[in-house]
Amino acid sequence: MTLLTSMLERPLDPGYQAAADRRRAAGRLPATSTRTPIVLVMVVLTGFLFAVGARSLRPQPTAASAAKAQLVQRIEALQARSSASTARLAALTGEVQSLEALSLRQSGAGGLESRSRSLAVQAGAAALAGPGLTLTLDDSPQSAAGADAGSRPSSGFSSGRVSSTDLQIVVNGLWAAGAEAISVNGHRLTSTAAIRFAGQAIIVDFRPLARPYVLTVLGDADRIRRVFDPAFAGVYLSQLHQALKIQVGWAPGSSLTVPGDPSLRLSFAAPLRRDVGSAPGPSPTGPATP
Amino acid sequence: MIPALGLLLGLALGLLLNPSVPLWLQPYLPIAIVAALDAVFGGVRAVLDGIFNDKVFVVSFLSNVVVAALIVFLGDQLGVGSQLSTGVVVVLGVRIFSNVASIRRHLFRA
Amino acid sequence: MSGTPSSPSRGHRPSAGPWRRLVRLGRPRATKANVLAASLAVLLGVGIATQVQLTQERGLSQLSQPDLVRVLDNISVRASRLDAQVRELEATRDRLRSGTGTTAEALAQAQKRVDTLGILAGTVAAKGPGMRMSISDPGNQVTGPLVLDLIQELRDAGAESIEIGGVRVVASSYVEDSGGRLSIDGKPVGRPVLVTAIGDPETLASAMMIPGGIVETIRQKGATATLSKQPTVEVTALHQPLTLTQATPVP
Repeated sequence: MTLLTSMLERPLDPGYQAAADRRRAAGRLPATSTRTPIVLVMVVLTGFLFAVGARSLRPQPTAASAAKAQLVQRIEALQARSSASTARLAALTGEVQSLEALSLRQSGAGGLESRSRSLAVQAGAAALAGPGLTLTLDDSPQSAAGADAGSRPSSGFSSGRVSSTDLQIVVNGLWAAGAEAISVNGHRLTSTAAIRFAGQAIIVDFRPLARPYVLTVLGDADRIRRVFDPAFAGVYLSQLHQALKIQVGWAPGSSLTVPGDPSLRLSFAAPLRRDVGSAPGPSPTGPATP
Repeated sequence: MIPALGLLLGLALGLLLNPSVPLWLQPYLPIAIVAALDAVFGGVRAVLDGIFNDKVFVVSFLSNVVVAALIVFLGDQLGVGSQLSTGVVVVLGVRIFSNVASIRRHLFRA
Repeated sequence: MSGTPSSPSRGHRPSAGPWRRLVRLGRPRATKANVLAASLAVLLGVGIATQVQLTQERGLSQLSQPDLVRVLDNISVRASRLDAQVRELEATRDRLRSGTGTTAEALAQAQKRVDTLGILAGTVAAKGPGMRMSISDPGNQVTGPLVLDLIQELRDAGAESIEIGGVRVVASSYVEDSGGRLSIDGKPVGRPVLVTAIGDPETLASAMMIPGGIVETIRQKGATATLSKQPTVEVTALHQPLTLTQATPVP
């Protein structure tokens, strides 16, 4: 306590007072000039020390962090380009479709057009709207604090964070519960959209997601909850919530929209036979005749 | 005014020359800077109190820096380097604050 | 440090209790000091909110460098795929506009889109290069989550059409697993589990075989997976289209 008091009450070096008293006793002014050469030298030295200290102690933009910043920049640029391309694609698809419809109607082959439209709904190329629910998943508050969990690549899922496996299981459970369409953070889940991870990032259809993860689900909300909650995925989710404090939020909605994915394209698969009706055969699981 | 210009000159020199600090010196640098800061504020306060003395300023500056570095060095040898550094920073920090408070009272009467 | 109590100003009764003083403090007055204090308080609020947001925010920069490289890989694959599609569609549109052989072109385009969508929706049988995998699983160790992982891994490797155990896997397919009995979309999947996928055979196979990947996981569980790349495979199982009762297409 004495230490603190003396520190607070007499913060000034006692030497100043003593020197002033001595000078006063000798009949001179108590203070010396601040412009003596030695003060100047000292002051220049101080400035030098500050500058050098700031220079050498500032966390250097190391090669690694510069590379990281560059990576983030490139990812963001590509993301912007991709979303521009997606919008362009949607516009172009509409344009091409109306041009096609025009010339097909002229030639009397409009049936193909309506088939294409109904298939677009089934394949996830068309946006859908309707009642349903949104499920919001987020990392536990504790894990958000210690976010930078090091440089472990894939295997390092710190507990309390939503992993791609969690998302896969939840989505699987939602489909089983009768969901009619699902999008994750505005990305429609189609038959080619994978839910994967890149280290700690969750990737849906090659696009990194930022938390929170919002699943928009179209369907009968009551029925979905009734089937989902007691099923494996529901139990799994409640365990995530209880044990790992992962945040789970359900909200029913009467008019939700899931976007379509205009970029559906095949480069390897071709139809086995032309013009099989959209109605499947009597036994859809049976092997069809080649 | 002239000391302030000197400080700026030193800053400019340091920034322009950008000397590389040897690795063994780097642990002492932060503490030395805090000690120097304390000496500078002490000096300014002494000027305002009307009892500035160039010799005291220089000696207090040097002794501050040297003692701070010595404490860090000794702490490192004893294995309590970080705790001792924290202690030094706290003590000097309190001193800087109360000196600045006194300067403030002199300049703004508040 | 200056411990003198602030004297009550403006003729206020010195006996005004602390509560009354507090009330007086809270009363808005248009003095300079009050405005200054208010703006300082606003600044403090903004600072706190920003700091809270900063500590909660976790963007791309929080990922480690190897993770960022993977993200970049993923997103550049997608970007170049999208670019190619845009170019292709632009060419199609120009051909349709120019009117040379429009009807034939339109017919071909429409047919192509119907085929594509049909294959993706699972209502059309498909053929193409790809791979076949057979998982013999005597101990019933291949569980639902593993099959789920397998499906996602195949999709990630660019599989365009997948059939598992005679069931066509589409977007809405779900895997269930009760007491070692696997089923997809409610249809039982027998052992051995036969997987057929259309896509680039090399990519598909290497996605399955990578260390720590599906094949290794299956082996660790005491089952065996045999995989073969094929110049042509056929996915013949069909998906019964869902009848949408709630969702309607956005016009």
